[in-house]
Amino acid sequence: MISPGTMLGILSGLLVVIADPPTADHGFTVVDASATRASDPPTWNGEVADIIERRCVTCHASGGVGPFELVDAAGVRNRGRFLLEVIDGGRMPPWLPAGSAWMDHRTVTPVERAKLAAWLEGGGPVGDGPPRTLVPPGPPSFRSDVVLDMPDAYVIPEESDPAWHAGEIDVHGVTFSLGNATPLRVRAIRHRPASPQAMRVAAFAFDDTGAGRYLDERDSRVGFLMGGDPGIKPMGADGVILAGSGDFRLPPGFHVPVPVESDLVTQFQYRPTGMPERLQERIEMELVPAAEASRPIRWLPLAVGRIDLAAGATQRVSSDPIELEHPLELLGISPRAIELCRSLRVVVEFPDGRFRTLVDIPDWDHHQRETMRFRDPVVLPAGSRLQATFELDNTPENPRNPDDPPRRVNRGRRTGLLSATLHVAARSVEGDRYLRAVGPASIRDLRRGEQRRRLGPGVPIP
Amino acid sequence: MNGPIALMLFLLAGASFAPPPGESSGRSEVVDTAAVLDRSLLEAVRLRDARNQPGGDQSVFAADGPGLVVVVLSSTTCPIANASVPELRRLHAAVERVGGRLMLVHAMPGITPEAAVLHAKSRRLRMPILLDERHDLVSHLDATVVPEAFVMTRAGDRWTIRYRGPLDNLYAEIGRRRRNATSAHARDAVAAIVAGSPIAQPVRPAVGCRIDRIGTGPTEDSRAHPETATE
Repeated sequence: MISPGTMLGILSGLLVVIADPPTADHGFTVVDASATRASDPPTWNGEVADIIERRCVTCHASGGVGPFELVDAAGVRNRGRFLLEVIDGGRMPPWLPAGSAWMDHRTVTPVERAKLAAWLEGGGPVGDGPPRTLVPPGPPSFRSDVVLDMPDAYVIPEESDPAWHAGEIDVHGVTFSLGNATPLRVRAIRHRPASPQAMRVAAFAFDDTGAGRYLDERDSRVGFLMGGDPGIKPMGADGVILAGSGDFRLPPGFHVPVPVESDLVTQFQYRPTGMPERLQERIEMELVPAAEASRPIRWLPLAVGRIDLAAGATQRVSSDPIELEHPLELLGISPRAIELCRSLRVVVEFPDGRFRTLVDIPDWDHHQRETMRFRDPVVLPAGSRLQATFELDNTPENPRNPDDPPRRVNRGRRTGLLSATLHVAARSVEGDRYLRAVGPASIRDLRRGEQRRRLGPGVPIP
Repeated sequence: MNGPIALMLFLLAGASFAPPPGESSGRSEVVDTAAVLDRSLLEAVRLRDARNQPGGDQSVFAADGPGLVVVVLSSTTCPIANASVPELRRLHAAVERVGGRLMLVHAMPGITPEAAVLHAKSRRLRMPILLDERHDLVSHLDATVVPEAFVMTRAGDRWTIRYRGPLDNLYAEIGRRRRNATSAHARDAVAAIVAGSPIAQPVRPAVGCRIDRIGTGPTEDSRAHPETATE
């Protein structure tokens, strides 16, 4: 059920392009100059500990994803200038999209940054009383209705294997058998990594075709090497979690539908740490209670199947636009792109000719991808046209270019080498039937296009 | 006797040597002003030996030691330094092969010998592990980040920094990591010295975790906070 307040927002969204409201929580505050002019610097106990607790300590505590701890004044002081550098460079906290339309937006606000800088400049005083030691907040409420454990560990190598394969090799696939006799309605997924500092991304796709099981069974190791999609379903179609960012959780009233006898196919994307690490993950799922009404979430891919990029070249490529035949609600977006992608954007053209940028990632990092959820679902009326655009950079100036000097890149992927999977819900039974069909149909189109060797970009939305 | 072997023996003997032909010490166009350091200054530096406790120390630039010394400033917890560990092992092997000496020097404030030894053991690091607790060496080298490699040779009354910078190009900058390094800058520099050929780029900006220098902020409390190993 949509609340009246939400509905008003949605209706407004249909009429005008709403500017995202500036709030202190979303990085659009005006800098409080007095924060840097104060004669008495902020203290650890007074303000700085709260900032670190809010922005850093979830990951930077014992057993966390962060490589070092930031739990006390001395630890923060020791790395003070480094912290300011990574904040200023937009590296920490990890968060890719521009704008503030998002749930769980992670950022250090300008006011917080100024206070941290002033505290460091002032010598890092502790303040009154004994110095506070921070404890990471406990995990949010989660009911583990289903728990899946890898029976054995896969060993993450100490460094990436040299490029024996052109694809992304710092990934490992695992198929968990659910064996569910009845359909499941999954509301939330939690990933518990065995080696948090080596783990980056977990991408999920429920599969009732046996394709994921086939991938697992044909590989004698634990799981299967590299990613791989279960059939025509893109990996990550049912959610992507960035390690340390929390759970994948849908808003109340929505669920991921899981057919009977399904498997959960998971792609774990890791980052070698310089020593062998253990990959033996646990996945937990929270289900929607039987008595609760809920709508299914479907996946809609905006994908580019193949690229052919000369060494030293840059190129803008766009997915073929999808024109909606039914209205839908957009809850989130899961982008996926190779290292050569510098930036990406997803744009909607409404039936009345207006445009809205749904997601804009100016500095793409495939090690930080995740499902980004809108604070409020975006209503897209029938007739809306959706398209994703990717900026590729195969020059030596692209620091993420895996080849130096650059080499021609001619690669494809069945479900899209570059893609933005939209997590959408229909507003009617007919709409849901349409959505169930349109995602797989798009992938089939992509494959047919591939078979025709249709390599050029789609028709871009201006 | 060919050039590289002659130089290897030269290094093994611990003798000083003149710059190879075509590479004078006056390459100011590529070597910054800190590249040449007074020998007596450096050879007076003694750092705590993490494996020789309690209180053991050792010289980084021994007067009677090899004429090729590679110092790698590092940290137990910097993810960029740790990601470079496999390359560090390769560099160590390359330096030892030509009779040089490689030292791993932990530069972050608050590091304890126990954390350094645990880190070295878990990552199979066999080189000497030293702690620059007072930033004596960090100051002489004017280092700002870890990891950074300093490939140095002795000539007469001075040590020359023949290469300083990242071990390889795994990281272009913080947050921008290649899947694999495609150039091993420090190893290439060692190979160039041995071959008597110019080093392609003697100074490269190091990428990694900033060293907060002791003396620039409150230090007493910092000393009380050991930099813990992450294992």
